Amino acid sequence: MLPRALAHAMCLLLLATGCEPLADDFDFERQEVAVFRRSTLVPAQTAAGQLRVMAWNVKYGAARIDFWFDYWGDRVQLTPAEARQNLAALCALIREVDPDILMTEEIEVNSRRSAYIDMVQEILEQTSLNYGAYFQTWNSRYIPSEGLGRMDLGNAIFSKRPITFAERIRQPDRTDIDGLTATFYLHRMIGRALVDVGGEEIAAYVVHTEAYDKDGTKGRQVRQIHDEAGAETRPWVLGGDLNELPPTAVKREHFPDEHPDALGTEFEQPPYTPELLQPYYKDFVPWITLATYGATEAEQRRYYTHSVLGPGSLDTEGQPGFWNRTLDYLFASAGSSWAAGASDVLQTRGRQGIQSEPLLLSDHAPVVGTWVLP
Amino acid sequence: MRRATFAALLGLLAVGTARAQDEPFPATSDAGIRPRGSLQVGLFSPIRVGLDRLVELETQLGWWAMLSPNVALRLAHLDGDRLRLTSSIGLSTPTPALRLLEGYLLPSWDKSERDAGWFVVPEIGLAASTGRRLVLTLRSAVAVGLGIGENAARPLDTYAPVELVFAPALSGFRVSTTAVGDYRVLRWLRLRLELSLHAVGEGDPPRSPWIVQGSLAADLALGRSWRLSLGVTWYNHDQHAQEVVRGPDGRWERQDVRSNDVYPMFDVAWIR
Repeated sequence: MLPRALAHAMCLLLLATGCEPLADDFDFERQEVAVFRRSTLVPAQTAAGQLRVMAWNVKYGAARIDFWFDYWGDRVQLTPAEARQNLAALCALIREVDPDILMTEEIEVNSRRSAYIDMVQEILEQTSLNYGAYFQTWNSRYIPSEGLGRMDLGNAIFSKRPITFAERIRQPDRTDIDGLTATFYLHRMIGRALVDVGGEEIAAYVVHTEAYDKDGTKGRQVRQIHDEAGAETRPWVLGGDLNELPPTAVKREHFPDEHPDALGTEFEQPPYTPELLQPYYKDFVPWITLATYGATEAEQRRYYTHSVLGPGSLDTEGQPGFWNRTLDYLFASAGSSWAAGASDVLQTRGRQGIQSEPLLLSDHAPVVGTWVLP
Repeated sequence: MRRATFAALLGLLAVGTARAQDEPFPATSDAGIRPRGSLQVGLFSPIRVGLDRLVELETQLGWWAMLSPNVALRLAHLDGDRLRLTSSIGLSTPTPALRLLEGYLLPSWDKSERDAGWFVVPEIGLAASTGRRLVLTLRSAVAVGLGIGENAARPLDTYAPVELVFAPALSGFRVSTTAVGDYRVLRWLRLRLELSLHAVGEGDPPRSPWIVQGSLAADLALGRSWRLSLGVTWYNHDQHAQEVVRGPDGRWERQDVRSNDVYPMFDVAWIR
């Protein structure tokens, strides 16, 4: 029985047919997506004319567990207990911030590595957010690499107020990977949701651009996002992980959280190209202006949003991991503004009065601001 | 109608009482053991050697033996034309195959230097067949995985054929029951229909333990010694697939669905 079954398996890649493809190639330009709802709606109490906005790359609930692609560890899967515990901690911080609109990146709904937990519905049930639109970017039935298995990853927009429409907009794919890898690789999307804020509709965008490309894919994606948001006719807010430094970033290379073993691999950090974001600061309204961001490394450090390593690990300089670059952003449409004193990067316990410790919850810090509608 | 039923029963009985030596193209699915000194070597199906009138050795040599050393003895308890009853006992270890999968279906564990553990998998089975031209067979087998030392591998949650191979080691056990109908249509052609129900140990997180399998195959006699098998096999199993559907209250929700996959089957065997 065993060899015969294995013979079936060998034929698998040649001629497997079934209801579900091996991997989804997302053959569309724009596609409407389902909007999920909390089981019991929580009355939305929003100050007139402004919305608390939060964007967070939640690293599929892996918190500070070192995964194989960062080369500091070799984990591939979370246990169900780890996934639930980490997700509960993420939700605790979201409850503390209590945003009207939350954008999340690297959120998963049915992936083997995050114990098949539906993180979108869990966030809805564990916070005061009522509606959630999930923008799937990676849908592989079984990735035969490192035991990754089933993958259903994407970005999401959550809102206290009704999401009346949501769609995902296809971004260009990488061209510098082989065909087999490309089959199982993720496809970046712009997530767009229309939110009814008391009779007026606003647009919310969530984005997450390429991290490891060497063929200019990230640049094309960044420009597409700029053009898409720039063409929006409603007031809009955009949040996410652009995998790029601000145009005036002082520290641009030699980050101490890149493991030496990653050099020369597909997970080596390519050189940053901060000039890509210049048009965003010129045409849109950032939650932290370049003036506030500062001109020295010491000034800019308080707005860093990313570190591969957490405080429990020592980096290549022998220091405990701490945020070392800014990759996550909030922008709003021209004509709107951000409330003074409410924009921040939640780097550590105490920022904006939070009790949670963001350093322990993800490899990205949440960015928050209060958006004042035009 | 009653006359037709009676005639059909008589026909079946006649088939069932045919003698082995009268059958020009014996069914490979038959529970009976091979005659002493005879040999069957398959590309994918196992090697079968008739050791004695009542004992047969079964093993997969070549490529699979390197990945999973395995051997089984099949013992005949009844060897009549009307009913053949055999039991089997086997032993294998899938560890070399599991280690070959590290980096693909299993993690590499480059930093922690862990590995898939060592397992021995004893398997016992029972099979019964009746008939010669139309052979009806019922088979059942139980395999358990006995771990030796540390093991870092977890259930693969992958495609059913692979899942079944490694289920005893990675999820604890595999129980299979198979019913087969194998009919000689022509002197050189047999058609085979199989239906199996497999149960495997719990996953982590849990998933349905049931795997349903159905196969339809044609066995062709190519001369006196060669057999060619072609067919398709279908699996219905839980691979954590989901669909987004509207629930009864109008909300979008995710619903678990079972996966259905169809694979081609191919085998060539030499029989002496």
